[in-house]
Amino acid sequence: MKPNDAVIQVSDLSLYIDTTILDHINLSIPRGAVVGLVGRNGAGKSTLLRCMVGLTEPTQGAAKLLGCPALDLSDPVRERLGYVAQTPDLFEWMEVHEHLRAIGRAYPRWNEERCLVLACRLGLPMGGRVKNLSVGDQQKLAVVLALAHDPDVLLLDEPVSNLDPMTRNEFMRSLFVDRRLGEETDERGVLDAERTIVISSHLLSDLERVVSHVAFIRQGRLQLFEAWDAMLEHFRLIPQPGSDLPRAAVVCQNPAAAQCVIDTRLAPVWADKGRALSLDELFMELNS
Amino acid sequence: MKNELQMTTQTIGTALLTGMGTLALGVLWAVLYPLAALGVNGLTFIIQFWIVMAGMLLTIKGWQESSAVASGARVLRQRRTPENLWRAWLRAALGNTMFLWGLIVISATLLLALPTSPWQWTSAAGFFSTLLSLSYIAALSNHGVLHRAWLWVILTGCLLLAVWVSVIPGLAHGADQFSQFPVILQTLLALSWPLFATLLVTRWQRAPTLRVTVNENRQGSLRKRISAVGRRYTALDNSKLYEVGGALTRRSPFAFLRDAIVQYCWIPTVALPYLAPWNSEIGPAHLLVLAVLSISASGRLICKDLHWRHLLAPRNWHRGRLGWHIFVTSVALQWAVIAFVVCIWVIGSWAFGDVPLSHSLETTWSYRILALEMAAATGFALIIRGLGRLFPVIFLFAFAALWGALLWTFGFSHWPTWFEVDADYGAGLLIASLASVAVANRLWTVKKLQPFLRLN
Repeated sequence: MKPNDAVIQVSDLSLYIDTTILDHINLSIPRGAVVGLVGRNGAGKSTLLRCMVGLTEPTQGAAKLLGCPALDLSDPVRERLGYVAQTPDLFEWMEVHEHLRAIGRAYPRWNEERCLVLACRLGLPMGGRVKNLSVGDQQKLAVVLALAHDPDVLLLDEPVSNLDPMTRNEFMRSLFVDRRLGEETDERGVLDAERTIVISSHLLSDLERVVSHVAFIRQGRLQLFEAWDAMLEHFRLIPQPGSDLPRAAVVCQNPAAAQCVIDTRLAPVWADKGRALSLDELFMELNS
Repeated sequence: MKNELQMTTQTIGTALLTGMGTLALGVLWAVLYPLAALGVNGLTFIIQFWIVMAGMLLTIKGWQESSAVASGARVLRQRRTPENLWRAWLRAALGNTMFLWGLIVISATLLLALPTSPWQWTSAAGFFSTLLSLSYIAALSNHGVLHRAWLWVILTGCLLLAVWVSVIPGLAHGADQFSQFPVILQTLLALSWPLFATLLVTRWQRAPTLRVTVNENRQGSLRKRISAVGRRYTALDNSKLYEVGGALTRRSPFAFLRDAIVQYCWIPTVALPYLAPWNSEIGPAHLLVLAVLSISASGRLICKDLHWRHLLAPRNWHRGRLGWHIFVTSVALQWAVIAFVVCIWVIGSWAFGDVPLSHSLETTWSYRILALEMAAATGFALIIRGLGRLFPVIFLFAFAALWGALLWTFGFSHWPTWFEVDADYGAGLLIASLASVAVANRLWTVKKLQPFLRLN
């Protein structure tokens, strides 16, 4: 992938506040990718997302969003961005419909009908004050606010943590439907309307169904960033690994369980040994 | 940006509050101005009152709108919305404030320009601009947009100002001093608000970064702190005492405080002629006053930390001494409310009645026995409520019968006196309070408090 293709570019990004929160992270997210950002509590996922949108200034390095420095986002870039924070910050005193209008007026691509359809699909109650909504409904409102202007880039920080399974399904569907199809393509024939999504979540079974890439983050470091299909195809869980296993192929080792995860691209003879892993299992192995 | 919608920065409630305030001041001005222009005497106090009320309204409006600016900065920045939305938001908030400021400054200047007015007309713009700027800065600082130190600087300044004006006899004389400031200083003060507003518009082209996180702000803001304190108290309303089951709905702590003020503010005001100053003679009539206080207190007993978490905690939450717990909490709140009302009365009589502070404080001190009388009344109130459903009714009947018997015996004017309000009477009240709390400890159980239990 050429660096120019990257919708989100994170270069040598570090953040120290008393301790290391993010440690020399490099990440290039291509257009149209759906990236699952995965890690334990306190691993630095939310901070990385905040750095990506320019809400937190890194100690070192920089992040770029659609080619624009994250700390100095221009209005045209903001109009193409949707962001849902872990704790939705809303105008609590407004009515829900007032809130939608107040924010929507800033976006040229805001579509009232689309907004209402989204709200209906997620079961967001439109009457009443925001402060009287349940936590889950406030999260739905934050999601509708982030999606209703049809953004090209979506960054979602645990957007479904307070949603019930049915709403989670609807939410996941909403991420991928209703895109502007049939619009002009660039010189490489890629649809301009292709949406790039970075989603941080602990609900790995939900993520597994939608992601194209997965980024594992541990103690502020980027542990692994790969296409999910490639991980499914090439990563194997090997019990009782022998001494003939090339060290370079070992992705992670779990001495307690006497097993390891290997990348069979670097050890082709092991390709039919062990078994493939689910995202959940890979997460457990990488953090064991 | 789509501009067809008007930007709303306030709730309907707060907009109505300032709207009604503005309307009331406008009506008063419309009546006052022609009368003052005709040279009607005795309007000085009303003009002073109008200026003070206008100042309060502008301060409240400034606080409300700058709070809206702070919430706009927080929400719009966090959502990474286009900056033109933030600019529209800021302009709307400042525009609303500027409109009211202009209206009040023009009205006040016209009023003070009349020959009957108590102060110089040149001081109006300076006075209101300063108030508004300070209100804005304090609110922005309170919400973490500006450095917190600003809030403390302003509060300290206000305290020093209060000390300074307290040595001047009356608000009118203090305002005289203000209106005699040099012209340059008055002009600078008058320009403070327009300059401050212009500075905000030019400096904040982008939503400012808040200096504290949302959670820190939730803990840190003055309102939230008061709210957190208020949330610990639960009013044992009469209506809930016999209600079985059902969790108490969460009420605003401010509504709770407002109700408490309404409940007790009559004691040092309306009931003052019936209270006994130190060294006065009292008789059965005064005991009836105590009975009224008991009935009043029984309707609003307060319990602190009545939350399921405390009740489930080990070491038996106040078990066996629930009466004492409710007694201490209720008496503390009564004393606080009465002290608050008395403070307002002392300041009001100094500001508008030209009564020296020392005189008001001396009068207040002469009624110090009220503190112990309130405590004794609360002790009796605990027994009245603790005895169950029928006892308050029996108590009311007994009270009416006793009142009737006394009237029958002594008529309206020849009531005997039994005691003098002195240290012995105070000791008697104290013993009575402790004895009733001892009885209340046996009467009050956790089961009785269940209808009031806070579940969230």
